Amino acid sequence: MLKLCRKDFLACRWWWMLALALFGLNWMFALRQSLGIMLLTILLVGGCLAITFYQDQLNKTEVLYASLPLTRAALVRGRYLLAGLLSLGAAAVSFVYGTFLMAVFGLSDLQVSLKALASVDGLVGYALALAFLTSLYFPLHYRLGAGKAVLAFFLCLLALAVAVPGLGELGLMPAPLARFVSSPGFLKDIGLRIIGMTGQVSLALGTPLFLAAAVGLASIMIAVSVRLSIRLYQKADL
Amino acid sequence: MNNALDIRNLTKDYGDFRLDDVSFSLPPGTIMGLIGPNGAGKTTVIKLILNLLRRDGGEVKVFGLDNRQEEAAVKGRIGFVHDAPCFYERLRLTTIKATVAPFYRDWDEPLFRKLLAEFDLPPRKTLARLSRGMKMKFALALALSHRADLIILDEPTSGLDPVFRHELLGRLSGLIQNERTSVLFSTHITSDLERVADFITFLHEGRLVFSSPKDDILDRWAVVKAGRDLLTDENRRFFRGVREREFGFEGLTSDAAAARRRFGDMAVIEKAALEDIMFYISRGAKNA
Repeated sequence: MLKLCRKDFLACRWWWMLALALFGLNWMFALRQSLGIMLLTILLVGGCLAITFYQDQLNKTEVLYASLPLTRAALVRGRYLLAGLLSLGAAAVSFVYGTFLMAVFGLSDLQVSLKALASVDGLVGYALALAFLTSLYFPLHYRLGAGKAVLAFFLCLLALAVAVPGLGELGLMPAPLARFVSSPGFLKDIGLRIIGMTGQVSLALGTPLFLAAAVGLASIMIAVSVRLSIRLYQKADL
Repeated sequence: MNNALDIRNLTKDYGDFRLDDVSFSLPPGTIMGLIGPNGAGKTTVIKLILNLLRRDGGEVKVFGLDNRQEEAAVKGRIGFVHDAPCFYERLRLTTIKATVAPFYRDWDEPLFRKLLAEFDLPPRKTLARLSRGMKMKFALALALSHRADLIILDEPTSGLDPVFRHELLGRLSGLIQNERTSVLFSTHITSDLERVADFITFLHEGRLVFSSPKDDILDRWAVVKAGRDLLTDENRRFFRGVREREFGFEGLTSDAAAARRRFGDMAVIEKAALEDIMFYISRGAKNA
């Protein structure tokens, strides 16, 4: 599977560099919310994955790589691994670049944001967010193809954004969570609130149990998503 | 020894097109030409062999291995050239090679370099800067560089100049000399097949018309040319396809001996070329 990631790296490295350059510029104007940098980092991962899928579609390379001595399952797992590696790389880049900006330009506003990314709670939030987004997008991609999948993905996110507070209003959500998402401070700084909540959960459970629960949750999401994506891709005509 | 390819009752239904119950075999060390007009199902068969399409029925065995259950092992023994090159266009040839070669256990780097030089392919040029013919040559170089036992080529000669086409056919003939490598070769240019193929498989509208040794086909099939007075209803039924002219007709038959008995000296009976067979059968279906 690492060979598949290497293949994507060779095919898309200059485009990834371009995404990285845009990311670097964007950071100057990063939201001063505590989630700002994390959001940009997630966008960087999403951007790199979108480039990779777009290059496949543009050059019709799915046909080529599905003709090589690989199973469809291996091709799908390779893409999930790529998402994981890009997530790790993007987090490392964000941290190094943020530290560099703070040290050289004295951008102390970034300190809160970087601390959030560098904390256990922040990293767990980042990993869970990426696991959730990947788990949602990939099956849509293997069912609908690159173009329609992006549309469906954002429609799902939109539906969730409407449904979560809506369910809270209707009393169909646990009361503490409903109070949390509808509290006035939530929209002011979503990142800080979410990390604050994960911090509370972490405190309540203790760090080892909290980490185990997070890893378990992410693993279940990814495992279900991988299985579904493989099934869908195995049925697809190329 | 297992056949290079065994296809039994292969079926694929697209709704508006159906590949229907196609069966044929390719013995090892031979070249098979897959012919048929546009939309006959040639590319569908090739994609089904490579498991790029989900079959609705039948089975495909490559060297005795099921192409779905032993997918990776089967594909490791196949070299392929698709009708439209599907590589990353903006990459250099050597970089494209680096994205493909690691997946083959038997990749032969010196052979790849040698083929690039023989085909006059500049390794540092990007694919986008090559002509269609050059892209086909590159695809062929990749297909031949991992010492595949079965080479599958989908319209490889379209877009190639006659000189390279001739070279390619010579190379394909050379490949099978080890009596192990086999070639399945789909094309419209039937004269290429008359030169190199051992077997011909003819598809028309998703159905198999025949799959036989080329020499048998060229011996058995004939074009009968005679005056219109001989084109009775009974004689018309005898032919697989008929072309009527002002003063006579030409008819295709799959039984040259029977045609000789039936028409004797009243008609001119000529061996049918593959192109004649394709033409009359396609035309016959249109007139039906």
